[in-house]
Formats: sequence, C-alpha cells, structure tokens
Amino acid sequence: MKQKGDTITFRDLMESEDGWGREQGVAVHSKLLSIIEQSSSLMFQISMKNVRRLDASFPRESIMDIARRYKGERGFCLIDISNPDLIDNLDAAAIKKEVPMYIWNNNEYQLIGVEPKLGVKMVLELALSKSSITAAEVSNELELKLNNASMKLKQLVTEGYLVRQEEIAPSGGKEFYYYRIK
Amino acid sequence: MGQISVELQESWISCVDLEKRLNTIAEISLRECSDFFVSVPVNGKLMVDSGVRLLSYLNQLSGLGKLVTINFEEGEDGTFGYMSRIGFFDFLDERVVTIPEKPEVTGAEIFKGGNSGVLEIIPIDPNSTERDEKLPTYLTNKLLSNFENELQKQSLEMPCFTFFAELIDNIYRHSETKNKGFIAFQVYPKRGSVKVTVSDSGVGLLNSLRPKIAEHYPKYMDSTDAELIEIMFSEGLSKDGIDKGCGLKTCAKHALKFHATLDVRLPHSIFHLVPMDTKIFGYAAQGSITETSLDFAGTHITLDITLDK
Repeated sequence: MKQKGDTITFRDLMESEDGWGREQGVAVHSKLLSIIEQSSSLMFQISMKNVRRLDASFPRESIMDIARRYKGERGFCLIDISNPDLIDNLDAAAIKKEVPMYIWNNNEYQLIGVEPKLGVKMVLELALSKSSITAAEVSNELELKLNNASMKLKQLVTEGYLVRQEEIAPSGGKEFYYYRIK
Repeated sequence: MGQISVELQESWISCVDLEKRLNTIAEISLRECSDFFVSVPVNGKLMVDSGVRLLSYLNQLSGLGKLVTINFEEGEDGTFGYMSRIGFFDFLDERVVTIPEKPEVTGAEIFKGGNSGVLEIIPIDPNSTERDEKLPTYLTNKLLSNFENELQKQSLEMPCFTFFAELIDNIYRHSETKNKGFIAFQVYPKRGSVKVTVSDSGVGLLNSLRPKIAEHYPKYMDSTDAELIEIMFSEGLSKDGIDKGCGLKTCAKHALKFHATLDVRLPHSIFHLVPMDTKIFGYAAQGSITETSLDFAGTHITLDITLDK
C-alpha cells in the first residue's frame, strides 16, 4: 500500500517567521512544489509550527495555490495552528483560490475555504469520521444507491474534499478507497 | 483659474474631519485652481491620519504646478510641532510654502524612534525594486511594544500585521505612480485608541481595477463606483485576476473584530465602515459611501482602533 501522507514544516520554507505578500508567497510556492513533485504521497500535512504571522496574500500564493493545482489528485491540510486571526487570513486565501482546506487539531477538524455543496455534505461528514471509506460503505450507511454514493464521493475528490486511491479490495478486485485529508 | 482656501476645524482634526471640510468646496475643481491655501487655526490639532493625507494632497497639488501654502496659525507651538515630530516636513514637497517656515531640523530627525507610540512617517516608494521585506514585521512589533497586557497584544497582533502587510503591498502593486506613499501610526493613550494610516498618490483602487473589470469580472461591468467598493471589501476584487484580491476584505474583517472604523478615501468617493447593529461579514458593521468634491489622487486608508473593546 502506498504511503498516505508526508508532513511539511512550512516555517522551513520561509525566510522569517512572518509571511508577507505575493512575492514571498510565490517564492515559497516554488519550494513547496519541488517537495511535492519529489514525493509519491497522496496527502500532505503542512505544519504551521513556529509560523507567527501571515497576511492573506502570502498563503494564497503559496499553500492555497498549490492546493488548487493538485485539487482532485493530492490533498493538503494544515496542522499546528490555533490563532483564529491567522485562520481568518487562511480562510480568505482559500476562498480566493476556490479550495477547501482542513485545519486539524488532533482528531478535531475545522474546514475553511469553499464550503461543500448541500447534496454531498452528509457523505463528506461520514467520510471524515473514518480514515478511509468505500462507495459500498457509504451506500450502506446512508442508504444511497451504489452509483449515487460513488458519484458523490468522486465529486468530493474533484472538489478537493477527499482523495482517493485504487487498491485491491478484500474480494481480490480493485476498488477505490476514499481518504479524508488529514 | 482661482484659489481654493480652506480653514480647518478648531479642534482635533481626524481624516474624517479633514474630508468633511474639504468636501465643502464645490465651486472650483483642483484642475481649475491655481493656488491652494489651507489654514490650521489656533486649537486646530491635526491627528496622524489627517496629517498624512494632507501631506499627500499638498504634494500632489505642488506636483501639478499649483501654488500651495499651509498656514499654522498657532505658529511653531501646537500642531506645527506635532507635524515636525512625525516627519510631515521631511516629506513635504519643497515648493510648498509653510507658515511658519519649515524647521531646519525636524522633530522626527531629532527624536526618531524614541517614542514607541509614534511611528514617524515612513515613505513607501512604489518604484523601488528593493523593498524592505521586514517592514510589516517591524511596524507590528513597534505598535505592539506600546501594550503591556499580553491578551491585548495577542488580539492586536494579526490584525495589525494584516493591515500593514496588505496595504503596503497595495502601494507597490497597484498605485501605478512615481509618487511616494506614506505610512504612520499614533497611539492616543488618553483617547484609548490607535490610528494607523496609509496614503498613496496613485491612480486609486477603482481606477486601477476598472480597466480589468470586463476581463475578470464581466458581471460587474455596469456596477457603480459605490457598488464596486462594497464588493471590494465584502468579496475582494483585483486587477490581477479573480483568484487574487483578498487584502481589503481581510483588513475590513479584522477591523470589525475590533469594533474599529475603517476609512478609505479614493479620488471620487469615501468608504467608511463603522461598527453598528447590522451585520457585514458576520460582524456588526455599517458601510457608507460618500462622493468627494475634490478628486485628490490615490488611496488613503485609516484604521481607527478603540483599545478597550
């Protein structure tokens, strides 16, 4: 089974503990891109430990642009943040790049950026309660037709809320497993 | 061609007060006037925001070849001394006539950095290829050094950093001018407030944005200036594309968290955001837009934070 996640220490990519503006954001974007391109991981946790302040433009041009670039293919989430004002700036940045972004604090998450559409919310909530899920499991738990469950899960992947990987099912056949981005 | 003559108020003069007084001039435009005379009466006390805006306006007028005079009726006492202290005269166009004459050595030169409650005017040169990448950090740290209460410091930290960062960046990115912009702040302990003010003499946010509306935001092609300003602050717009332009929105959001007021002066309009009972961005706020009678160039923004809220 492929490794699911890498952790990137965002502060290591910055010149100082504060991030300002588009140019600095673009510079970090290049570094992030280089790390991601050299990794085979499906998901990346970006640790904001020791990052002190960010405006909205800096994360917009760095983290959120990267998340948009890989939306549907690979997932990114943030950890080690608690400052609500910093989260506001990250939220504004994510909204501008039209991406969702999870902020995880142990097993609790906060979703910033683009809100999921009403029609897939229940499926997303179920998927986020488990480390991975299949269409069949969603179909059973939410009493949806299998192709409907599959379509909603795929939509959640396309829109950046989940990632997926095709793996060998217990039956021996291939099946998509949908992972929360954590 | 005629003269514009303005006498300011005999009281504390904020940017709001300055604009109110300037807005009483309707009979002659800046283009038509040949000279501009502004008088600060006895007991008139320019605050940092009105001082910085006046600096930009007088420099603009002088650059256009007008004969510009500023008369401090109280002489070197009073507000003249404060203007000297914050560096007003250091950046005033040398062709502007001042009464009294500009000091040979200004208070800013003597005392610069000596009072953490004052940020002497810092010029921002939009044409400079090398900008101080640590400027928002420096400004934030300097402002925070005025507060001993850790909770207060923490609550001010990100909003102030955001304000400095986004608005200085806007001067570099969007002002489209050779003229310098300015930034300053002042803590008013007795008033229990902090004013942070940024001023540029560029084309103004809307004039920078409008040529790109058709390309990036066609649905807003027919929007009025007032409508665009509101969208700028509620959703975010940028001449550089729909995936950019969140600086002003975040500034406004942070301002409202503090029950602060945000005043934005553009060439043809002033947007004023105040905490009220109605809600914008989920915070209690009301925005008002008024037209200006004198179309000074640029974007001039003041954040006025009341510290005990």
